[in-house]
Amino acid sequence: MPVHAGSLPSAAPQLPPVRLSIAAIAVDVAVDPVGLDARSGDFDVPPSVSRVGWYRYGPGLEATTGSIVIAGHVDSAQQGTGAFFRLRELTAGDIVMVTGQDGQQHEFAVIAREEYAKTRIPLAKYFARDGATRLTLITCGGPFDAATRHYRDNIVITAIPR
Amino acid sequence: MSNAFGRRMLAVAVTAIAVAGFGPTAASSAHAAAVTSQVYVVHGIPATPVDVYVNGKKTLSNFKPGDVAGPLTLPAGSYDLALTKPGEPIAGAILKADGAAIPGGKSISIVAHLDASGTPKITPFVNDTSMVAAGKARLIVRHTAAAPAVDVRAGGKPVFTGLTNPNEAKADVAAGTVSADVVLAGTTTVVLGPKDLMLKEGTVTIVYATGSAEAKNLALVAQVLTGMHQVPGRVPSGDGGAAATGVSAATYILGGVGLLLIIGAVVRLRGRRATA
Repeated sequence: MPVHAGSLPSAAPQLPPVRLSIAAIAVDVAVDPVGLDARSGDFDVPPSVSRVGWYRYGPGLEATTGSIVIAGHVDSAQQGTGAFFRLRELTAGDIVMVTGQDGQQHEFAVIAREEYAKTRIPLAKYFARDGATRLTLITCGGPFDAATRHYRDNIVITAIPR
Repeated sequence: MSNAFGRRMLAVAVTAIAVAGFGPTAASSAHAAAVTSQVYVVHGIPATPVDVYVNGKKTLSNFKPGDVAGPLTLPAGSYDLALTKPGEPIAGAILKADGAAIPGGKSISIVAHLDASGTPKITPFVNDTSMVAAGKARLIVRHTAAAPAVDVRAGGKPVFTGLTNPNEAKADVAAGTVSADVVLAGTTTVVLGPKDLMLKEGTVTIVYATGSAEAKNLALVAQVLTGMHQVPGRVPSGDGGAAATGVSAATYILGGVGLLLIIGAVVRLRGRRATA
């Protein structure tokens, strides 16, 4: 049975990401701290499709475990192409640069691209606070239902610190 | 100890197999065997390292004051707990709790501590591990010290009042760092702290007041449980349709008419973008 000192919890202060650059798909966008939509409980993706949102209730760039999540629009009927329009083109080894509020750049390398129906995506895994430190980028994709104006799927990119 | 529990589990499993084929009885026995709790042990008696025995088997050696052990996964049931001075036989236990009931499916902290008058005792607490709303953290404070009723303050303001041994108070508060202290109930006489507490989003932080006011060895012991954070329901991130891949199900269902409507929608969309 593990034993540890019952010292009072302390932790490094959160380091919010403020900018995201992915040269491979010509992305260079501002990152806003976001939470959940109060009414729906959904991820509160920034309304502007040229900005992306970092999930501020989860880990930031200070993370030593868990998933740092940034989500952005693939597109919008009103605003057109979004910051993550080409996210699905990323492949293993592509570099993702994230700038923290302290001005430091953090480099990640893509290790996985996955596509799930929104009804089946294991979000608990992508919003986990434990496990290896990783960056998770999420947008929409797959077939589009013009009647409901919804994409069927989520595209998920996983990148690890370099 | 693992052997003792192994045998116990084995006995339950054999019973379940023996009655298999007799319908609901077999199923309910198997279900009962699967109900376990996550059990932690917290040491809040000053200056007294101990060995911890569960059902006669040594589980922890030289367990030190201020330490937290666990979790141990235990099937629901009745357990005999005993604390001895390190290396001494169980017959000379300094503290015992025979037949302690462990319910199933819970998170439980078993605390060795002083009662209000300074006598060592064992108190089990069931931990509230229900989900914490986004942006919040749960703070649970347990009075397990030889001390009178106290108030717990955060940032100088009382958040829990009139807390007595061996009881707890709890609240879900905004995640972040709070400066907390403990005062004699209804007064501003600080007996513990102030101390900074980092309450992480989606976690449960349990703070135990331990020791003795008279012996001037009051101390705080903390235990953090993780994984109670909320997960977004969905990640809606597009309603344009320009990035669609594969063939939409709607196309199959509506056939040619649907396809025309979709083309019409795209044309309208393009028209709007051109004028935007």
